[in-house]
Amino acid sequence: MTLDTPLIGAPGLHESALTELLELLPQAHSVVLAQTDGFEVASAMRRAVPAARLAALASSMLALGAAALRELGMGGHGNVLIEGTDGKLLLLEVPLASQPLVLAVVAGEDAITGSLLWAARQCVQRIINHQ
Amino acid sequence: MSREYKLLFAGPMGAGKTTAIAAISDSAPISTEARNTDIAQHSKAQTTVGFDYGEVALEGGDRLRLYGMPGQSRFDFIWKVASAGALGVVMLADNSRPDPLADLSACIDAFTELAAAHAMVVGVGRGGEGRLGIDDYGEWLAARGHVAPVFSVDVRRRDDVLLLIDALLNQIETRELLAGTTESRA
Repeated sequence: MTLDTPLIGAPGLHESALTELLELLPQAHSVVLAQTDGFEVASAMRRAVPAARLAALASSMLALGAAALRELGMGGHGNVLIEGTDGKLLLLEVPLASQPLVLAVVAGEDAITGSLLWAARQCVQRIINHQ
Repeated sequence: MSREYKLLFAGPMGAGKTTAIAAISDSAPISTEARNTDIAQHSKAQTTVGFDYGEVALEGGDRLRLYGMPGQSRFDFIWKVASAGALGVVMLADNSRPDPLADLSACIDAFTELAAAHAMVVGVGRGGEGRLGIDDYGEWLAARGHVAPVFSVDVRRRDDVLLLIDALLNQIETRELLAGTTESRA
């Protein structure tokens, strides 16, 4: 990202919301917040992940998910969950009017999907409340 | 026998890939645009972050499946995924940029394999607004070992985009004839 690209929101507050998510859900090991055009905004991690790369991937996949929903006449907003053999990746929309964001949560395969969703939604709400 | 062609539209940010697909697709394309925040790179409001998808039915039953790529290299994973099974790439350039060949360079390199194995055409947009002429693009491509026809186009015009597609399909067919692989893949 170039220097004159506006930085969105308050990174400190975003990072505290991400850290809280990791504390809430021990099975989650990394969380990245990205702009919908793929730039990393903030991250918190117990285990290192390529955050800038994940930010771009997350924005693409959420946009493709939304495109699929639109094609099916099921609105244009949703979440994406990828369950791998060795872990889960959850992508949630953060519908901020000023700058929509994507939350990407990386968790172990032992994370219960319902708990992962709940904790991630709490985090999204916290980010929205901070604005 | 009817056949399907998977074709890609690639090129730097703002070159007109989304517009080109919208200009020829039979129905409204599937788009994955997000708000563009990288104003330093390009001033447009929206940018493709997944891919565009459009379809064109040709006379005789053949079909085109068109995939528009994101222009920024941070989305290069999409380039790789979409390249699988593609039969050609339409590379778009924006001649009004300060250094259009530098912009083009990263994109061309990523699709070199596809271009070499199948086909590539180059469409230069806003041709009247820059310092470079069509010949400059041709020489630059040749110097890098690419064999690709270059056209000056306005991607908002359906006929211009169809010209690029025609040139690409001709190139695909010629190569297949030369290779003796004319059987249908449809």
